[in-house]
Amino acid sequence: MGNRLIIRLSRIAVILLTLVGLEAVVRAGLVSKLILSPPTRVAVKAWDDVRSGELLAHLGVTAVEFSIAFLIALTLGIGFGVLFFRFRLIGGAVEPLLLAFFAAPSILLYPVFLTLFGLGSATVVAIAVVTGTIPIVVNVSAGLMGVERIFVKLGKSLKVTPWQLFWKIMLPAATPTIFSGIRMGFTYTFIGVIAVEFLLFSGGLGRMVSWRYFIFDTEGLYSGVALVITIAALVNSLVRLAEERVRARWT
Amino acid sequence: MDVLIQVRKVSKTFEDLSGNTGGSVEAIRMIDFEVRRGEFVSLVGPSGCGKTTLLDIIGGLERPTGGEVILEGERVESPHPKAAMVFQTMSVFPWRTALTNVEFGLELRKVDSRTRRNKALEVLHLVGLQGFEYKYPSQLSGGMNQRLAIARALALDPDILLMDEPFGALDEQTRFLMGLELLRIWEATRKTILFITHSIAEAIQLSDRVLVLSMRPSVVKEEIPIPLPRPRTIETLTTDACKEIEHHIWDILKVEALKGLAERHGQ
Repeated sequence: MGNRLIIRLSRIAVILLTLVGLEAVVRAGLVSKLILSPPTRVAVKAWDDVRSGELLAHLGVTAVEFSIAFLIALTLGIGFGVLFFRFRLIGGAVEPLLLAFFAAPSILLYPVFLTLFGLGSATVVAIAVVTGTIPIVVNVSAGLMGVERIFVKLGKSLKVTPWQLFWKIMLPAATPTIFSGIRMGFTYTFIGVIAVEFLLFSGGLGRMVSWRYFIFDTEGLYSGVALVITIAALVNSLVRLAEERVRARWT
Repeated sequence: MDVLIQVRKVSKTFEDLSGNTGGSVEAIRMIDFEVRRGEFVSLVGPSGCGKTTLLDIIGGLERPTGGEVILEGERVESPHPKAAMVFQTMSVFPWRTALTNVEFGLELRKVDSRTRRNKALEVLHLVGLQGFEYKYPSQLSGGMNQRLAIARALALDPDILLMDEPFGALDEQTRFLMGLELLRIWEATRKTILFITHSIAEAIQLSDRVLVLSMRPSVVKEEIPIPLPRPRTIETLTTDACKEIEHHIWDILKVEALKGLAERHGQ
């Protein structure tokens, strides 16, 4: 317990030291204020963004785009994951391609999606779906393939129907792996949404940051970045907590 | 006493698709034996002799390539509802509590939830897991998880228990104690048990008869009755008579085990 406390404290210390260091460097005039803003002024600006409702307005757009994209990614991911598991031949043929695709930044397909879906939210959602679906597909099929053979054997000795085998044995047994995939899909969908918003004009947190960048509002830019990071960290830790609870039971 | 398990000239040859061993592997050759109601019979044999394959055939999970298995007068084509299997490895579901693990088989058989619960509580009590109903397998010891696996099998009210080295993963002391527990459960329920093990001591501790299997292709080398008095205790299991049986089984197995070893090194 003592050890964990020390680790936590040192984490906070690292963040504080970095912020103090940044503040000192900028205030001392070592770096131009166009490139970096002192953390204290970014904090004031961030607080302003929260109070003025500007953050909320952009967050609303991002939240809607993210929710739609994540739901689609989840549906497609689980659907195709099960399909690839069920039909190994298709899975075996497609999976390496998917993995290769996963390793490449799918933002490169931006021009294609742009012509297909236009300059608005549809493109944001489409690209986020692509980035978010892949880890879910891969983990769902890997999870199902990794189910202990003894569980299947036990099921057969009890004469399970294929339906029972899937719902009562395969799916629950694969849950931890599937859940990891869903967590990764969650993160990648979020990254996809913010990244494409940054390039487009549909609004959202990404657009908030890119706009401030265009008009040389350095403080505003960093305020936006800080807010996105904070939101991402908060949401991610919630998902992580859920995953840990699942894993704790399964192992 | 009526015969519950009849194994008649059962053979099993696996087609070797990888072609490493020249076409096919003959795992079992013309195995023939019977188990009477209420009997405790063990199959002992060297590692890789096809014990598990034989049990899977009796359990209806595998089809023999020759011969037939008859359980309670019915030819086995698929798992028999009156025979329950218990496996070596952790086969209890980590996502279910002890109670719901035991209910699993009854759930599949669409037994209503109240009857299911009562039956599960009853068998958990029988195997000595009262007080652990709502624990998950990760919160139980290896021995307790095997009790749980036995409880899950017993919940189905089988006449026959087919046990594939159920205590193989446990340490020696736990294994011995689990053996005594199994005997207590057996005496309380009078199930017919066919038990696979590679431990000679365990086979002697538990069985009425021991069938010693040879190396592949597996045949019954010898059938050895264990005339030790029951209930078996540390005292009955350390007598000279017991030592003698152990020595005798060892003599047969030694030859077979060496053959197996030579075969593995030869490959």
